[in-house]
Amino acid sequence: MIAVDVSRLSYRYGKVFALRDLDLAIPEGAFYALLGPNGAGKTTLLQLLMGMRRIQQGRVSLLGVERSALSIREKSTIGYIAEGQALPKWMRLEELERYLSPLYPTWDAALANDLRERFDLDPRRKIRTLSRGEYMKAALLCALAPRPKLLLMDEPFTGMDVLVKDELVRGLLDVAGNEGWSVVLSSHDVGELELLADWVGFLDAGHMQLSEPMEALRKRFKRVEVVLRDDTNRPAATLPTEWMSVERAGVRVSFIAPNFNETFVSDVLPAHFPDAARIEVFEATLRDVYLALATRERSRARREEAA
Amino acid sequence: MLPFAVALKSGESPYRQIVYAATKAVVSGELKPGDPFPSVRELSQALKLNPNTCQKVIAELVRDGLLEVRPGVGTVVTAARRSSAAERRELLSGQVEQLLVEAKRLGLAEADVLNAVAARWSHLFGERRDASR
Repeated sequence: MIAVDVSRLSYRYGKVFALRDLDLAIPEGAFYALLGPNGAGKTTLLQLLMGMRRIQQGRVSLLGVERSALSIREKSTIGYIAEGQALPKWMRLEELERYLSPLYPTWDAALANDLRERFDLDPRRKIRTLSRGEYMKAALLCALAPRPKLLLMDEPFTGMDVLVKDELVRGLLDVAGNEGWSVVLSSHDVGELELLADWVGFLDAGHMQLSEPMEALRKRFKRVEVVLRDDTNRPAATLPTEWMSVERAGVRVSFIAPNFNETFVSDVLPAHFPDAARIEVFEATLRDVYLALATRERSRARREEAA
Repeated sequence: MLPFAVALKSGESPYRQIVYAATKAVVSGELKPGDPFPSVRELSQALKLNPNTCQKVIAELVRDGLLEVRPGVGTVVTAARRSSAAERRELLSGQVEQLLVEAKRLGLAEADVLNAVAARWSHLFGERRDASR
């Protein structure tokens, strides 16, 4: 089953298109990292998924149901943590839980207790007294207690210290991960997403530049380092345009190839570098790929502007 | 903490890193037949790794014959099994040839390779003779 199904979604603020003909399909049970630079449209996309913005163009289905047709019960199986999630500061945590639980037919009080203990949160404390990390733990507790089949989180770890992030990640993996719930986590910081996520999407310039399983990304994106035999001046124009982050210094050339396969080593590389002394192929890190894609997009945008 | 050494490096498939680390632990005797192997949940928590990936790791190790699932007990390390003639051939001619071709390309001598192999073998497995042979 497809947990999140988006088809030709466009959204503009005035004349500016935040999302442009965006297609997205996230399978059930996936832990999906939605990456993209600031201002790429991640928050807009998540708000559209959650029904917080009117759909101007396109279609959105969650857990197999058209967004507008979701029943109350179905909606209670969809959790959301907004960027800087606003919790009522004057409430105590226990009051907030008592307030929220009747709104969710699937609220699991035992799970809420487990999470509260796990995160070491005092239920009697007022939310305004919580530190940033405790606040996010409280938000995560409230989002997980209804046992959501689909959890959407907008930059939940941004600005969190390492210790808190560690606890949040483990809590999330232990509960959502082991239950097989679908999780969509947006971030502009690659961080530990490489281990957490098994699907990754890159949103930039209004649509998904890529969206695929993490393993597939690893197989096709490689960092290649070439050492030429001498300083022959090979003009950059002769290298395939799909190669990204191409860098040259003396006899060294390095780049990120997005389409690596067996013939790459046997045919493609020798064809472009017949005079190579050494060629090494490394797996590209998620950070490498993210930087390469974001940089390429910046250049493309600047070229369009100049034209 | 996990009963075998694994430090995940960025830029390499965590799945392959863990399968390798576990395989190394089993063949070197660090993990012995009958030892319990961490569950999906334990791997996920210890490494902060997606449980789907952990599931694939365990499935691969079961397929390779290093682990078995015992009902009511969980996943345990299996006793050493006989390898097939095909597997041995692939390693002893296939992979060895790759190593030798690469060594020659780098200008190494036969003695360099043999010394490196012997040193690494004793580092990993000590002087012990494999009891199953």
